Order: sequence, then C-alpha cells, then structure tokens
Amino acid sequence: MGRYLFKRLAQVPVVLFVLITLSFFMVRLAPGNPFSGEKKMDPLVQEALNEKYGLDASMPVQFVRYLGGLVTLDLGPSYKQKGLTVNEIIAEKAPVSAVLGLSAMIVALAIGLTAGIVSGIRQNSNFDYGSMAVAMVGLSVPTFVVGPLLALVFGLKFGWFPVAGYERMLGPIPYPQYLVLPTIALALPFAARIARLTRAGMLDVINQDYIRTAWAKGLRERVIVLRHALRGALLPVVSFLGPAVAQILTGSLVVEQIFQIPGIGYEFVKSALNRDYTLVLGTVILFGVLLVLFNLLVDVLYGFLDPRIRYS
Amino acid sequence: MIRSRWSALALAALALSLVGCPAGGETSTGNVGTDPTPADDDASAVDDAPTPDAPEDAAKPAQVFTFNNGAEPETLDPHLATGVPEGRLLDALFEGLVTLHPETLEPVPGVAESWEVSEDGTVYTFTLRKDAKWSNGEVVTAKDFFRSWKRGLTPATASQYAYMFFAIKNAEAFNKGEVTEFGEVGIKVQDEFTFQVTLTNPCAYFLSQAAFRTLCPVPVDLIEAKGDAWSRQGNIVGNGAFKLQEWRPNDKIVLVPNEHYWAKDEVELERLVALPIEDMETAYKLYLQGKLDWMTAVPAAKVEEIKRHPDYYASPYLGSYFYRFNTTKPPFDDVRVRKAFSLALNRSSITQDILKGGQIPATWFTPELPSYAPPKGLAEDREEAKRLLAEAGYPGGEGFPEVSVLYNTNEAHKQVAEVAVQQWKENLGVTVKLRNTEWKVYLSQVDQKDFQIARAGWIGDYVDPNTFLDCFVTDGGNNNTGWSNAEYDALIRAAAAESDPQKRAEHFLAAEKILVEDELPILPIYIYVNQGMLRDTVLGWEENVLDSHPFRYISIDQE
Repeated sequence: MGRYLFKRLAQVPVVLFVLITLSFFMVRLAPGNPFSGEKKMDPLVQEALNEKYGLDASMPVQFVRYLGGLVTLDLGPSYKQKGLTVNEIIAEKAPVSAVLGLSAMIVALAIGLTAGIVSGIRQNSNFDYGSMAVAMVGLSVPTFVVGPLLALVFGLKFGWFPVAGYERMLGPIPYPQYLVLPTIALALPFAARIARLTRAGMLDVINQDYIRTAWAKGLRERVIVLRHALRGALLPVVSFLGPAVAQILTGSLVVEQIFQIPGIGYEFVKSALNRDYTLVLGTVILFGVLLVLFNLLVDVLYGFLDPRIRYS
Repeated sequence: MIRSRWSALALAALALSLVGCPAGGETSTGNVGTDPTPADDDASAVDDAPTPDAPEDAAKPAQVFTFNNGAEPETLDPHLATGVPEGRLLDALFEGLVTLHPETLEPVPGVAESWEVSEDGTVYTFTLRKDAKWSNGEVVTAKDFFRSWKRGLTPATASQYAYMFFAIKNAEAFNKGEVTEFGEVGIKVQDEFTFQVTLTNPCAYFLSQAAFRTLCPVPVDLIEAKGDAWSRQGNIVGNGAFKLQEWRPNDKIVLVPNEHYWAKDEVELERLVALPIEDMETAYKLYLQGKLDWMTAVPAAKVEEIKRHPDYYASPYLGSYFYRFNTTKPPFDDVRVRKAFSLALNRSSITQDILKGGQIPATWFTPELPSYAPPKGLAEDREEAKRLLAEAGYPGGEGFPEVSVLYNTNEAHKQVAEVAVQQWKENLGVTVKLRNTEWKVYLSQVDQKDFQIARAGWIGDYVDPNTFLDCFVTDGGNNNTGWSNAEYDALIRAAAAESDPQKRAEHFLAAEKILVEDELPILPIYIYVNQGMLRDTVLGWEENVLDSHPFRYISIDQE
C-alpha cells in the first residue's frame, strides 16, 4: 500500500506538468489577447502592457518564466483584474466555492444514497418508480433552469430565501439562508447520479452469493443491507465521486452567476473568455490537483470497500 | 396554464443554451431570460417586496444606496480603468478640476473653484479651491494634477484613455514617445493652487474632458510606494466625495463618504453598495425583492414586462449601434452595394419588434446633442436599393458573392442580424449568412478585417460629435472598415481647429453627411437608450445621455 501510494503520488507532478504545458500554449494560441476591447488600443499602449506583463518575450521564454514562478507557488499576476495576483484570487474565491460545494455534496449524498438504497432493495415499488423519475428530471433539467426557478418560487414568490447574494457570517461561510437555494441547485444533478448509481449497485450486489449466505445465516435486513450489500454497491458511486467532488468543490459558473456567489467557478469560464492567461492556468492547476488527489483517494477507498482489491 | 408555462420554460432554456455567456464590452446587451413569470405574478411580488425602509432593512442606516454595477471592476486606477462599472465607482472616488452637472452635463467647479480661458481659447488657468483634500486629509494641489497627468501620459503607464489628454499641447507627442521632455507638454504649475493648461487648438469639449476620470488627480507618492496594489482596499486614497470601505471581488464594493471632501456637507448617502451582477435576470429578481435601489440595465427578454413597472425608465444614451462594411474587398468596396444594403433595411422593425426599449432607429451615426443635430441619412427606399444593386452588377441579387454578418455571440445581436439578413433577402434577393464568434475572437477578426459586415457599437466618451466622427478618419484606430476619405479627414481636422461653435458644427455635419449619405463605410442602425429601474424614494438622480449619476447628489427620501 505504501509503495503504491508513493508511486501514484510520484506521478502527480508529471500529470500536472503535461496539463500545464498544454494549457499554457493552447490558451495563448486562441485569437485575441487579454487587453483587447471594443475600443481599439493604441499599439504603443499594447506594447507597454505587453512589456509590463512580460508578454513581449517569446513563448518558450514566457513558459520557462512561468514554471520558475510555479516552483515558488507564484501563479503570477492576473491580466484582467489588475493589481491582484492569481494566488490572491484563488485564496479569496476558492473557499467560497468549497463551502457551497461541500454543502451541496453532503445534500447530494444524503438524498442520493437514501433514495438509491431504498430503490435498490424495493425494486419496482412505488418508491422506486417515484425516486427514479425524480432522478431522471434532476439529471435532464439543467441547472440554469432549476436555479432561476428555485429563486423565483422560494425566493421571490414565497420570500423564504434571498433570491441571490452571499452575506458572510464567518470567513467564507455565509448565513445559512444564502446557502439553501444554490446548494439545492448545485446538488440536484449530483444527487440524481448518486441515486441511480447506488440503485444499480444495490441491484447488482443483492443477488450475489455472499448476500444469499447472509440471509441464510439469518441476519437482519438492516445488517445485510448496511454492512454487506452497501459496501459492494458503493463501488460505482465512489468512482463517480472522485471527479465529482473535484468538480463540485471548484464551483459552477451557472450557479454562481444565478445566485451571485463570489466563487471560483466563475473564473474557470471567464478567465478563458477574457484571455487572462495566468488565471486560466491557475484554475486549471487548482482543478488538476484536486482531480488527481480525489482519484487517488478513490483508488485507496476501493481497497477498503472491496476486499478483493489489493494494491501491492 | 401549467403546461404552457413549462413549455415556455423549455423554450427559454433552449434559447439560453444557444446564447452562452454575454461577452464583455460596453455594448453587450445581456442575455435572455429563463423564467417565464407572467406579469400579474410579478405585480404581486412587487407589492410583497420589502422597500428599503421596510422592517427587514431597518438595521441598515437609512441613507444606503445599492445598485447592480454590471460587472466586477478590473481596477480602480483612474488611468488604467476602461469600462462603465469602473467609471461609476471612480466618479465617486475621484474628482477632477471640474465635474459635470448631473442634469445638463455642463462643467461645474470641482477641485478648481474657478477658471479663466484666454481670448484665443487655448490657455485655461484653473484656480484650485484651498479646501479640496485627499481622503487622507492632505490638500490637493496643482502639483498633484501635474504629477498625475504626467503619469497618465507616460507611455509606460499604458493608459488606454490617454487620448483624453490629447487636446493639450504636445500631450500626444509625449505619449507616443515623440517628445521625451515632459516640460514641453502644455501644463504648468503656477503656484500651489493655480494650474495652467495650454491646448494645441481651442477645444470646445476640453472642460468636459477635464471632468473625465483619466484627468482626475491620483496620489502619485502612494503609487510609487505601493505599485499596482495602490488602488486596492486599505491602500487607495482618492479625492472624491466617497472613499472605499470594502472591496470583495465578485461580491460587493462598499463606499462611504470621504470626511475630508470639500463639499462633504452636501453628501447625504451614508453607504453606497455596488454589486457586480452580470446576470440581468438575477439583478431583476433582486430588485423585485427590494435589494436594489437602482437597476442599471434590464434583461433583454423581459423588456416588455418591465416597461409596465412604474420604476422603469428609458432615456437616450450617447451610443450608436451600427454595422461596419469591409470596404477593402468586394462586394462592399462598391459604394452602390453599401448604399443598397442600407436603403433596404427597415430599422424600426428592429427597434420595435426586437429591442422594444425605445431605441431610436437611425440612419445617422452621431446621437443628437445639444450642440449638434446629425444629418438625416438615407431613408429606407427599396426600389432605389434594388436599382443600385443592379447597377453594381447584381440585378435581383444575382451573382452576389457569399457574405456574412459577423457578431459576437449574444442573443440580442443575433436577433438584430436575423432581421437584417431576412430583409436583405426579401428586398435585394441576396443571401447573407450569420457568423458569430466569441468576444475576443470577434475583436481580433474585426481588427484584421476578416469580415464583410460586422456588428459594432460605439459609446461616446464626452458630449461632442468629435468622439463619434473621429473614429472614421483615415487609419483611425477604431475605423476598422478600411475606408479613407480625404475630404472627411479635412473636415474633422477643420472642426478641431475651429473655435466658433456654429462653424464647428457645420464641419461635423458636412463630414457626417459624407459618412452616412454619400459613402457609407458603415450602416447605422439605432441609437442606444439607457434602460433601468429606479425606486421612487431615490432623489437627485437625473437622466442624461452619459448615463452618469454622481452619487454625491443622490439621497433617499425619508418620507
């Protein structure tokens, strides 16, 4: 296990290097530049800006300089948000997305697992049909429809929650009422996926020999389901959760725009549209690191969930 | 009822998925809506919504003004800022020699309590008030202006709006590096409170420019000490009526009165909150929930519904929406073809059926100004259009090459282009395709003239025809059509050198006639309007063509 972990961790820098290299050159190949706008910029101004931000150097030189900064964890200045560094932007916004993402993940897991387990055990029951129908809606209706609808109904119509905004209570944590609607909007598709995966996993496991053995031993249903069946049934859910957690923790442009949440999800898209090269790379690196780490965590979890999987 | 709502929802959702994100730039008109609220629902929502003095907001001080600023400001450095969201805040944080009257936009005293203009109109001598102070309590002096303007003009500062200085003698030459000695630029500190500016030519709009943020004083010592970080929360020092209290990126910006401001007794607002809301639907909901006092724009898809709301306002804006022709390549190198396309377009069907916000259909380019009435341009005439197209060698559209309209991805631009394309098809028999690209790609394609027809918008920087007509001089940075006309250039130059307002307006009129009646390198479509919603408790907010509403005059009615 230790050796396996070490090997996997050693691959992380290689994966990230490839990711950074590709992103670095791809974003610079896109037409336009960080400073272009509706009003044409004087070529001299453009030159001065390029010089100031080191964009006058050749691409390989810029790349080496960027890597040099990375060694000291310096992600460089933002070209669009002048006066801010990418480190500062990430430090300010990523925690907000993480708070929202965590809350959405908890909700998604609670709803998804419960619905999936019950549907799996009571296959073809009314509950099964009902929850799977809801899950299908959750999967197919996009967030940009669900979000405004939630804001309209529970915000504007009933006035239970703010329609948008993020009033902070403690650090990146807001007052709970600001979290409710965006959490639901963000959690819904994930909950639906988890419910379907859990149900499928349960159906798969429930007919296997070791479960039949457990029944034959006279164990109670509770114990069979939660101790024996669920462990096996969770495997597909866990593989889904690796990338899903990385995704949900880094926010969503749609949810953040609809509910006016100052998170990092916004920057993933906007930085690319703005050609804010350093911020594009910063967000890519952030997501890349999370993705690699959560995938690693998933692989480790496999070993605990399925006794047949052993790493050596 | 329920079913029809759902299908409307699905349609709206589909529409949104096609739109993508609204791109940057001042002419983006926002994206389309997603929620099909019938108007009667909203009416009740408005009644339920707490007003600013309802119990829910009782904890806040009463003189609080909250508005959606449209986007996150890129910077609060007056020399580097370029956009509207920055402008609204900078006008509160900094003050120039003069400011503009909120209603008439006439220059009124700012840091300068008075000024004298020499007889030939080229030398302005400003007398600064002695009680004008920075937000750290230090006095604003003529030297501050001198050093600030020097910074603004220094090429390394890379100020995009440095051209706002260019009426000043040698300012352009210094900015372009042709003059290296700053002493040759026409500004002079006569004494601590006397600042003299020498212009190249008498310039009718120089005082308006002096009110512009690029010409506001900046704390140069602080900038030298802190570098780029000077304009951030905790560092920034300004001389305006307000100062920065809190800046949370993509969350909010809070301004409070500057206790050292010379007219602080006239400032009534106690707190000013700017929210960087990009999604206009979100802003609209917040407004309905009573969380905004001023909504600075409206969601395009909701215009009709919002128009029925008593808080809605619409007024002409100093902006022009038009199409550029690429005059360097066939078929639009032929003026007859350009004219035909313009004559065949019914603009009022665009403004009335698509935009619906009271935009003014225009066959001219410059919005009407107090000092200038634009020419009428070419009125719609389908027969003449057909005739011209036939004369150019494409009778009934036959043999017309494949061309397209380029626009940046945005629902409103798309709808306008669809109408235009359909009318050209009907009236001229030509097939024009739609070509949309993402904002930055669009900009680079326009810049490289990789288009036949391209959508464009132009917002004036100051209230004068020059800010519009100067675009189309030969090789002008914003020309982008490849068009060049010596007579036009000469008229714009003559206007610049003319001190008599009457003659000056005549030069501009003659120039614009060339632009929109004879040559048509562009196809004007409509004049923008400001649209938004404002609570009736807000006092001191005046409509004007610059959409400039200085917060120092605004207060909340306590009755």
